[in-house]
Formats: sequence, structure tokens, C-alpha cells
Amino acid sequence: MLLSRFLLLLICLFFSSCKSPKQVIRIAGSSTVLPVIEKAATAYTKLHPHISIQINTGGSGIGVNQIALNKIDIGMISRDISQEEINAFPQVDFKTIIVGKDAVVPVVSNEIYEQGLTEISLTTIGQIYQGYIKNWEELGINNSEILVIDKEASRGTRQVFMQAILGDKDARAQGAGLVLGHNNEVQTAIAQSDQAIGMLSFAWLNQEVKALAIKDEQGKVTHANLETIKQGDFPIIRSLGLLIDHNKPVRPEVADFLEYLLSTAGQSIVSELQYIPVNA
Amino acid sequence: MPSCRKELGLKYVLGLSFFVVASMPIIIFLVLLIQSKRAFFEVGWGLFSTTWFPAGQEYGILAMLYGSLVVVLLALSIAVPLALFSALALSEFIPKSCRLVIKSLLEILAGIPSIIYGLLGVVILCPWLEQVFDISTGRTLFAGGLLLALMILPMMISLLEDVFSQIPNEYRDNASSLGLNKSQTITSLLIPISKSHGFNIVLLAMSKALGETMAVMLVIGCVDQFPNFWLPLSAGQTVTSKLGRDLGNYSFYSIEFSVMIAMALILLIPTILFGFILRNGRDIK
Repeated sequence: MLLSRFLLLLICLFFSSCKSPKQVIRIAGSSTVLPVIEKAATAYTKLHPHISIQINTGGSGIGVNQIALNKIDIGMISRDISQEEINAFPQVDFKTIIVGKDAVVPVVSNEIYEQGLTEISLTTIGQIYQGYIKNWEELGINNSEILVIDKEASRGTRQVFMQAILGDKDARAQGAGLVLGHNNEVQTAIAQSDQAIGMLSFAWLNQEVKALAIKDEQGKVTHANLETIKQGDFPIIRSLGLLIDHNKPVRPEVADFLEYLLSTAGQSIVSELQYIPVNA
Repeated sequence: MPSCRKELGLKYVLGLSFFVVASMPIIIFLVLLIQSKRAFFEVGWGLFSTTWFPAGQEYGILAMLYGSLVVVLLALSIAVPLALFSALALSEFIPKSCRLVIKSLLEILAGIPSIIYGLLGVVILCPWLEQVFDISTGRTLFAGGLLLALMILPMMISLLEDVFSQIPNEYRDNASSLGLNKSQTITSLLIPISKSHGFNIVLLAMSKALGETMAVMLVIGCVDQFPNFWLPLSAGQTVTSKLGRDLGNYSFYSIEFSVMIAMALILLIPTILFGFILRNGRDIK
């Protein structure tokens, strides 16, 4: 008797807590776009307490897949959507909203930078990633094996980088010594090693990972900084995109959040995080 | 009358629970089989190549299967002797007062989440390996094996120690009355008696090691290719690490997804085989 009353109480409590007053916006995808969305979500939910925003990472590939499967409301993508992806999901009308610009920079460990390697050409990077150049002494540094850090094939950062250095976004990197995922992981690995090279989003640079300037065929050297990225001089630039499915009705809170990201407040978050705002 | 109904009710409840539990593995197996059908029919023998390059339509999973095998063998070759000696030390030599403390410590170790082991691997183990072996990165198959050994040790020691302490003291007394000293008692009496149980414990540890994902994923290097000559000291890939990293990137009915499920199914085969062997193991007389 007591037990059944207790069970009844539990059931009532359960159902009463089920009625959630918050509307949920689900977002997932690129780890490059993630910091912007996270910071914007915190600011946005302070202004609109009845809205809750759930954010997951996993890479640009996840962003595309989950939007196509209608598991999320907004997908984060740090590359252009490919024709294969458009063909793979014919029932989805992908629409990209660009909230910022970013550069993908080749980065090396501190020790390599301090020994004099401060600039590199795209072809040389390509040769390193394909395994033709294996040792730092071939580039004029001390004798140590190059630790080539690659990323998972579905990551937007990787596809943009590979397109720039090898002309093929799906290129194989036979010289890869490590394959990592999140921008965060790459940053840690480069900082931990003293002989590593990798690819990193510009906004993720810090004192322990040094960006190399790109040298082109004419010998012109372009450093990665806010001006060169804004002007488009730096050769490896990509947009920070948000994907929605235009075939499905966009909920008002989703549309409102997207508008917030493109507003002055949202764009100031973008530039605070060292990305380039689009409405600047 | 009421007690008869209660008994029938109890039978139904127990029967239903049993049915639910027993059907789970079968359902899992069937789902895996159905999802991997596409891989087996469309890729076929191409699955057993060493090149994984989906963009070029190459779906070779041999590198991952090899990585899983190497990592588990490494873990067992480190953990089994260590566990055996530790268990013997605990049951035969260490005073009973310490035993409770040590067993509690082992329980704590066994309960640490695997992601913690993974983080410790990235922060401590891999840099240490880089220093000791003078390699460019410590994220290697060897690191994976070492970490797995560390993870299966507490469970193995605890279970093996239980086996040894359940052997009645009379056996040991009989042995000493026959003139055997401690080490002879161990080698000619205790070890032969606990052989079948010990074997089961090793198989259990092997299944656990085969399925470990998080910790291995962080320290293995995740390079989808066959390791070069210095086998364990180069980065590699295991089945579980590949699944953990890449499964979410492929859409549900795509060929890559199907190949991944096929890989998981192939990994499941040793576990199922060991399950049958376990059931046919004999008890201590």
C-alpha cells in the first residue's frame, strides 16, 4: 500500500518535471565555429532566458550530416558544402549563413620557429604532408624527424588546407604521423612536441604555437594577421558558416538567434575571438 | 490460492526479465549483421586491404584489425604475468591486515573512468615515451598497449586473488606436510588447480581490452595505416578508436557507415568465441 503510494508520487513528480518551459535550439558541427557560437549562446540566453541552446562539436562533417538527418537546427561548418553532400541528401535544401571569416595557418612548434623557420611555401608544405620531406634538416633546421600532424578527413579545416596545398580537399597525407580531431587537440600536440607541423585555425593561435608565413612562387611573403585575412591576401581563407535546411520551416527562435549573430553584438563576439567579422 | 497466484506472477516476472536480457545480444548481433550487409556485398574482399581511403573508394580495414590485435596482445603480455605474481603475493605472502586495504585500492582503480586513463596517457605516458625511446611522438600502439595493461590489471589481480584464497588451507597444509616449501606449493599445487579459472579471467580481461575505446583513442595516434617496421613504437589505429572518432561523420546508410559496422562485427567474433569457451570451462573441484 505504502509502496504503491510512493510509486504514484514518483510518477507525478516525473511528469511535472517533464513540462519544460524552455525552447531548445540544437547546434552541432565545426570546432572552428564553436567558440563563436558558444560565446554568442551565453550572451543570447542571458537576453532570452526562456531559450536554451545545446551545442555539440564533432567537425564540419557532423554539422552537415546532422542537419540532413534533422537532428539539429543549425549546423556549424568551416568549409563550403560539397556537391557530393548536396547529392547525398536530395530532400534537403542547404542554406549557408556566413557569420565570419577565418584563415587556416600552417603552425610549427616553438623550437622550430625559433631556429629560423618562419616562412614556408605551399608546395613545400604539400611535400611534407605527402612524406617526401621527412626531416627538418632538409629545410635548414636541426636534425630531427618532422612530426606531421594531420586531421580527420571530415574536418572543415583539413579540407580547406588540403585544397590549398595539394589542390584536392580529400588528398591523402602519407607523411602523417598523427591524426587528430578538434582544433584544441592540434594546439596541444604542437605545443607538447618540439618538432611538429600542423594546421590550425587562425583564432586558435597562442604563444606556444607559431604560425608560419606563406611564401609564394614570386617570393612574396604573407603573414597571417587580421589585415591580410580581411583583404583576402592570405591564401588559405574560409568562411565560418551556419547551415540550415531551407525545406523545413525555420522556427522563430532559430531565426532570431541567427539574426543576433549577424548583428553588431554578435559580430563583436566574432572579432573578440580573433575571427574576421562579415559586417565590419 | 493467493500464494499460487503470487508464484505464477513471480514466474512471469522472472521469465520476462530473462527474455529481455537474453534477447539483447541476439538483437545487437542481428542489427550489426543487417547494417553491415552492404559492406560485405559491395566491398567484399576489399575490406581486407591495408588502405583506408573512402574518398578514393578504398575501404580496407586490415590496419584497424591489426592495431586492435597488437594492442591487446601487448596489454595481455604485460598484465598477465604482473597480475599472476601480484595475486600470489596478495594471497600467500602479504599479511591479512593489509589485504583489505589493498583490495579496496584495487576496487577504486578498477572504477576510474577510462577517459581519465586516456587523459593521463596524453599528459604523462606519451611525453614519457617520447623521452625514453627518443621518438617524435609518444602516441603509438605501444602507449595503447601499456595503458590497456594498466586498465585491466586491477580487475585481474582482484579476481585471481579471489581464486587463490578460495583454495582451502588444508591443501596448503597437506603440501607442507609432504615436505614442499612455499614456492613448490605454488608451482605444483596452486597454479594447476586454478588453471581453468585463471584462463577464464584472462579471457574476460581480453574482451575488456578489445572493447576499450576512450583511453585508446587518445593515445594511439589514429593513423589509418599499417605501422612501419618498429611495430609498436609507431602510431596506429584500432577498431574501437576508429569507431569512436569517425562513426558520427558518416551518414546512416552510407557505404562507409556499413564498413564501420562490419569492422565492429568482426571485432565481436573473438568475444563471442571466448564466451562459448568460457561456458565450457570447468569448475574447481
